[in-house]
Amino acid sequence: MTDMRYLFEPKSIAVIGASHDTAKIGYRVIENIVLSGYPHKVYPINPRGGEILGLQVFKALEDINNPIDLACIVIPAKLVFDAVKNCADKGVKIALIITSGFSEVGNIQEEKRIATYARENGLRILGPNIFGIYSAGVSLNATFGARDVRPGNVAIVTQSGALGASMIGKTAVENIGISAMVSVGNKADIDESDLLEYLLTQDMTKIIFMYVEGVREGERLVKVLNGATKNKPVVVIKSGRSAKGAIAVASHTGSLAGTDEVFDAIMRQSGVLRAESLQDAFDWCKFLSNNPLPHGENTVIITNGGGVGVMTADACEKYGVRLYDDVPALGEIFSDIIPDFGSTKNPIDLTGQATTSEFDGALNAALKSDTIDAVIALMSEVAVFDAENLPGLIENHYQHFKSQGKPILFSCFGGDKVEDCIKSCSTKGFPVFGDVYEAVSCLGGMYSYYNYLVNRSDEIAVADIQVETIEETVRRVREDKRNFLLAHEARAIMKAARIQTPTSQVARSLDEAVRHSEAIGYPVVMKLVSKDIVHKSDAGGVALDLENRDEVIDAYQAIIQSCKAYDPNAKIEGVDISKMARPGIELIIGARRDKTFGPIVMFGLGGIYVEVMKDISFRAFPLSRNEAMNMVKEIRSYPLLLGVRGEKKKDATGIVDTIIKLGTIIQECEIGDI
Amino acid sequence: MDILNKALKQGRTTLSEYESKIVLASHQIPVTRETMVETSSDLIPAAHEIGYPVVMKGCSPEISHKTERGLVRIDVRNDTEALNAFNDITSGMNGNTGAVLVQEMVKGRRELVIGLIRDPQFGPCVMFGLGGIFTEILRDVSFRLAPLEKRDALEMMNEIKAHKILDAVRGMEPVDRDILSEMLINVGKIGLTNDTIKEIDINPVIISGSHPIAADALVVLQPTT
Repeated sequence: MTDMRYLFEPKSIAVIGASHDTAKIGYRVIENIVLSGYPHKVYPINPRGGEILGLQVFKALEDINNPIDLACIVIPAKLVFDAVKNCADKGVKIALIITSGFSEVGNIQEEKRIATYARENGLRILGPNIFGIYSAGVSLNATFGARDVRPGNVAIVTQSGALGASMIGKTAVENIGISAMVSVGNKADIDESDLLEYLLTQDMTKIIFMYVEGVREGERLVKVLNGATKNKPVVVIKSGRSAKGAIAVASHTGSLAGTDEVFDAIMRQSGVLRAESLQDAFDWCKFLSNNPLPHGENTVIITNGGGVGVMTADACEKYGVRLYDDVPALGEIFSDIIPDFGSTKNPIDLTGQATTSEFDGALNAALKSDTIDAVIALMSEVAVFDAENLPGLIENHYQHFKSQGKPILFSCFGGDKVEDCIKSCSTKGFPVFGDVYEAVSCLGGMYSYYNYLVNRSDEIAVADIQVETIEETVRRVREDKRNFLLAHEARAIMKAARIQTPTSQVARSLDEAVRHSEAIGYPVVMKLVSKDIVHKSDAGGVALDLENRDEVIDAYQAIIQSCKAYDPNAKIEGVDISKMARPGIELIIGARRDKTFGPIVMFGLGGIYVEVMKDISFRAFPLSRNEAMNMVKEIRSYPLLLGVRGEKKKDATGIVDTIIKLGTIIQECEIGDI
Repeated sequence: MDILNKALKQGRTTLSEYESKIVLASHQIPVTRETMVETSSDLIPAAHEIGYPVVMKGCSPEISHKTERGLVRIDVRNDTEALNAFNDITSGMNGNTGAVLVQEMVKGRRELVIGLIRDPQFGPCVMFGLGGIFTEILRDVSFRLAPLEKRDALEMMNEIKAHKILDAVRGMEPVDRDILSEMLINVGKIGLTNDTIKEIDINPVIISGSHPIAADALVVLQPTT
């Protein structure tokens, strides 16, 4: 495999399709490379020869005598294959295909042909359909986007070319410094995982921001992300949340595991921060890349206005920022500074009479305190407030806090002086905001990452299951040309995984149904057994809580009759009689092989509420027991498991065991979902 | 209303389930068929009149959390079970005044809540949401200020997250939204016309087939000043 260093730190670049025409992309790219101050050799290629921006133009790649690390291809789609061939012949390490007109418009064959040829001949491809690459380490801007990129510590990987190109300009406006920016386009070869592997080791990059539309090779991406988030934060925007597709999936796990829910869960599991809006993503990147991680969770709000203080407390709850609430301790820290009618409860209220000098005192006290881990300072421009001293106060304290490894954020509200202060501080990279929600959103992002690092574990839970027995059952089902299991087969698998199920037996006649019911003991549940009817309750094929012989007889006849009406052609094998498990809360535990991310496990509220409430959690498998427990705690109905209205507390260990067992079945056996 | 005045005169702030349902029924809100029995000799004829299986509850104005106090027996199927339940419940009531409510057992897997709260600033507000054990845990509820029009009632139903539970799911019939709307509108009317009612809690409203029925109810009163 070619090292991604050739992409981010090339020692020589050829531009195939360099143009003399200043209106063309082929000119724009070479112009950006030259003007960005790239220090190594650049070779424009154009059959017409001549000179562009003082560089000698070569008629063909083979005319260049020196080795080429990176080739930018900016020629029409139909000529790209030959150019790629030339690159491979010449021994180019990576070809960057800027040209569009491939799989994104249905031209899948040509893209495949190019990718296959490149792979077989040791050439790696970025693209096609991309805007290029920016890499601050070698002052390289090989894009057709804006030229004015601010070097810095945020790496951006984007699937959208236009969004990426415009981000160059936008990040400059937002004062975000970029270490690298790459668009992956159609991902014919190089994808996010390849790029992440390089970026996570690159010192200059402090945070990675990815814009993703679709994921390929999800299992590898998860591994790479896990490695990346151990070292630096990763922020992701994934669009297409609502695209669900009308794919009918037979099992509940299948239909519940909408791609976005799974993606979202897996990102959280991997410690990735998922942003919904570009503004959040930019804010988080800027804040997390420039500020130290806190040492603990005690956050203090210091304000000169009660209203914004309360708003900020609300925002803290929304974004999961924990307010320090040890009242005596806070009193000790702040009582000397705060007027009698102020408040030493969090939010610390300096009152409307406070000036920057009171803020100075309070912030110094917060900085000195060992128990305060992060500070949000709120300045409202009231009559007595000396807004002209605000920029100095902010700069002074920001630097002190930063040097002591304590995050601090400012939110200022007022007139022109305050607005100017926000702008000038923001330009210098200080975390100063107009709206408290923007400030708290940043701190919330930092704390989710902090909590991930504190709680993450490399431990993997394993379960002991009888793989051969399961494989044997599955093989017989496949021979029967079915893709779902009947109740007794599913139970055989549960038994092989040592998962408890109610006692049960299949009855093939009314007589057998009665006999089995008596043997199992009332009350019983009766369920249709038919290869042709998957959704039994829709067909009227389930009867619960049958108390005696008469009810069993009635239920048997009702089930057979309504299932025949539901599907006259269905072959009915009989009914499955099982002990009615009761009373209790119905839960659902599932596992499936996701086509992108591989084995995933699911836990949630079951019964009639499964589809309606979608109160479920997902994780990629394997996972630690701790993480499986987090899944259980994550659902909204979790308090039900703790026991309400005098009910008993449920056995969470048993649930965790079952989650791990089902995950293991999916991982080890050829089964789609359970 | 007499029931309200009588209770207030006795210095009570709550109505028993039985009284609460009389208030609801007088405002065209469908409630379970039920009878109060005070002696075991009245019990069996009453249970036969309702028809097994029945639900039996210790009913006293002094006791508002019947389930937690173990004063509820569901799915009572015959005379023997009924007599045992009666004895258990009456001894469990520890001398509180009251009797045993014998009630039809409404079968249905869907449970909703309909409520009324009197907001100190805005006045009577109607609440709708998921009932049973889910009410407090999930707080999947919607509110409207009374009086309600049908449009408001229908919107309230669609505002809860789990609104699909009202549709045809899992082989169950769709809920009759016309009846449910009437119930919401009428609860609002009760609030508007009775200043002494502070709160109403109908939980659960069980969906039997497609019909919503008030299976348990509590009316909380406030003395007029």
